[in-house]
Amino acid sequence: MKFIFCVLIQILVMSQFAFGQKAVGSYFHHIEVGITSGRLNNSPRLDYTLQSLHGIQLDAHNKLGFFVGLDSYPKQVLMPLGFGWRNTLSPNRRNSLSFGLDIGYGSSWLDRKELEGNFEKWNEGGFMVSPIIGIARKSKNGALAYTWNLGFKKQFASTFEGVRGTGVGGVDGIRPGYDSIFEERYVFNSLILRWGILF
Amino acid sequence: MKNFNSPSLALISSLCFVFVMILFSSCEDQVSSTYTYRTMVPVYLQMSDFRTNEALIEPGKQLENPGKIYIYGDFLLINEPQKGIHILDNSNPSSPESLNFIKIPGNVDLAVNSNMLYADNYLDLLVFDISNPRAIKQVQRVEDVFQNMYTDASSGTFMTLKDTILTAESNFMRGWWGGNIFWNRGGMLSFSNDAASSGGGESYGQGGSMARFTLMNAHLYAVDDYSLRVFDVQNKELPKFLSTIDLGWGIETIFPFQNKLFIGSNTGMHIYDATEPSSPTMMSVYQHVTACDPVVVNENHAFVTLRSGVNCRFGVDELQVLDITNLYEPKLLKSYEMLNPHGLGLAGDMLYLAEGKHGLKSFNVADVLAIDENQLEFLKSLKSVDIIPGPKSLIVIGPDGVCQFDYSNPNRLVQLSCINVKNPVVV
Repeated sequence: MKFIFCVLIQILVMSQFAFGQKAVGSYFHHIEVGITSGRLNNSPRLDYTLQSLHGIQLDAHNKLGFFVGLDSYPKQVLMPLGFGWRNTLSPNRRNSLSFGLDIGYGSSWLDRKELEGNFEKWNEGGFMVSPIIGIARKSKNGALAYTWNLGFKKQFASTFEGVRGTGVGGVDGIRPGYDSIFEERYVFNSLILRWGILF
Repeated sequence: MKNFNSPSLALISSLCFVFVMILFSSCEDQVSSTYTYRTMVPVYLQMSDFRTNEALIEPGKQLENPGKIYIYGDFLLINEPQKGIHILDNSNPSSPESLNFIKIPGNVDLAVNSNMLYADNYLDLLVFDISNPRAIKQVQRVEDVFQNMYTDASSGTFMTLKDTILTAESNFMRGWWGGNIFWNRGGMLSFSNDAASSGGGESYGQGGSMARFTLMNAHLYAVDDYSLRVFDVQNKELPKFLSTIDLGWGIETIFPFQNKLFIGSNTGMHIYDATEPSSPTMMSVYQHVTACDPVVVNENHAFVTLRSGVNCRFGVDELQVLDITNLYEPKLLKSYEMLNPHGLGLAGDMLYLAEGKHGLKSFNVADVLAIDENQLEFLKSLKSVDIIPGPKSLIVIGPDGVCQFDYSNPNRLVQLSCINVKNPVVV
């Protein structure tokens, strides 16, 4: 136990020293904010997105980490969780083209189930994937970089509204326990534009 | 470009290609909305279609949605509303065995008299010989005894209600008519016009005539929503329809006790004197607010549950104890607050009360004025809707199935078995 604790402390300390050096194995943090747009019901849709990616530098070009975020959609706010990969095309230049891929699960953990008598309403999240392309510009001292990313995000989600039945047996063809249920399943296809800081 | 390494370049090129393909394919969201609801649909049928053949006796099968349960010797007869009757060998309550299923469309209730099973088949009354439950025979069909169901007697057409699942589908998000994080996040909660309605999976539920049977003094009494029908079953193979007595509205249950009939309705308890079995006469009606469940009775007291619920408007959640020593003038002795009482079972001085999703309670009711002080058990995990104290076991009908308990020690129920059902009751 002591050994594991010492190793973890060592990794943490080394990663702090490695911030500015971009050494292999160093820790990085990429925080982004942006907007997402799509078309729904034949109308344009505009929402916000926040994301925080934490990970390690795999080599001169590649980074891999775990992200957590906040994505708004009509009727719900999802909290995406997953793995993110970033590739910097020209790591030695001040301005470089970059690519990335985020894969994870958009959780509806933030939305609470609504209950009012026999009426229930809840949301469910789903799988998400998001490839991005953008520009990374290092600061003068090289300690951090500013990023502008354009990307695509596919997010699966659903909402449910049910009226619970009482005193009667269930029948085939409807979710057990409900007299009526309204469910909407979505695949949100969004164009995303994010501005961020990488350090 | 000297910073490029070749594997990275290949990867990036592939990624770029996929990215561009996705980016320019479409950013149109995909929506699939499904509204599924349960409703009662009127269905018009011809009685002649059901009279051409005898009821089918099928091998035993799983309970779907049990209705009335009848104990007959070592056998349990469990009605499957609108479908038929399951026969189970219950000689060992720890392991009941499903023997067979009598397919009777429109069946709601049953009664057994000396090896003869009486069951309704929409407008008709069927009689089965069940002296050997493994070889049941239909022996009689008494036609047109529940004539109130006829919509056109001359053509033999009647109406029943079919519990049906309907589904509407759409590719639009409901209640969202464009907008973004800054404006118009609401909208009308109406379903879009392209919704297509179609019949989905369907099954019969509790619709149409709701007969309730009981036997006393060689007479069969059947109540439906509005009336009491009397049959002479002295010739047990050939029931003879005698008369119809109008009762009013919302009749639910019938409980026979010492030549009296206690009929529970949505608005009160009717007491009929059946000393002359062929022509019961009304003694009194005890009016209460809105009850949804039945009555159990002993020599001096009637126990009635009143509960709030979807079909029990203005209801309260109470157990009421009535003094019925003078049957012409039943008096309320005391009300006890309950959680959501459903069915009742009385075995001597022990009263078992189904509290719906809240569990099952047992009381010693020797002192009817202190029932709340004599609660024996409150099994909160045992959701229940009805209770039948049988000779071998206490039968508890719950949302998940039919369970049996050893109640030889009234202070502690011991579970013997549970028969799971396909479509659990919701409480």
